[in-house]
Amino acid sequence: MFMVYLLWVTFVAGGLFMGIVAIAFMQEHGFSIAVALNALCYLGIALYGLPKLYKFVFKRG
Amino acid sequence: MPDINIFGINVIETSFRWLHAFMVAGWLLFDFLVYWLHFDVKNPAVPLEARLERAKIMHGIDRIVAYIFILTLPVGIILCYLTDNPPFSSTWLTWKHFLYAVIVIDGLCLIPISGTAVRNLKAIKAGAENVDELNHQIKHHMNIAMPAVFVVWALVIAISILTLLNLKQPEGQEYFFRDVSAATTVEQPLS
Repeated sequence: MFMVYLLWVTFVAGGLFMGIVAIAFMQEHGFSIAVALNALCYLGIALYGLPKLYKFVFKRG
Repeated sequence: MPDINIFGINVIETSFRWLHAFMVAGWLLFDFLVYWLHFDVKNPAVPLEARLERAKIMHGIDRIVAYIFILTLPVGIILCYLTDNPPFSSTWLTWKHFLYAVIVIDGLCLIPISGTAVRNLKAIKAGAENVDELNHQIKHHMNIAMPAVFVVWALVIAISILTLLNLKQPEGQEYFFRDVSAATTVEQPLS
């Protein structure tokens, strides 16, 4: 079970971090397709993982 | 973060570099072991005890792969800042992060079908009646996972090559395989 927590905590936190950093980078340096793809993918991972993490933390059992 | 230097080597930065490199090497090695073991696990002609034993070993190794897979992201992010290369500061690093994101998405697709082999083989050992169906499910799940596994390998190898070609040495942070002297040389005035 520890691994499941670690998986979703890491991907939600890491996804949000990378996504937000990518958006902040584009705000500062302008649009870039590579950075935009990063933002899309990492925020998508975080959004996908968020309900799963919520389920594991609050609705276990 | 304080710099801890021993014989001119930044211990923290170098440790993270090696940790990151070993994690990727271990990832590929252990993933290949899992791949090698899966042939017997999905083969109904192999004795059940041998299949179950290999499935348990495979599951154990797969856990190590999963830990490496999960921890590569935070270790990579820490390494970015330790080496003064924030995540999207260079083109190659941006594409590297994108390829890792694709691996994560690929890995997330594999999660729902992990653990089928051990679960089904235990059910067969316990005397389940639908042995053919359980064996078919093991084979089916392993076969549909294969393209995703090959994509992960290809991307990890691509990321490794991309990183090697853009690697910097810690002291002075100069590129290993790139001659930047032509771009940075300033003509000296004639005396």
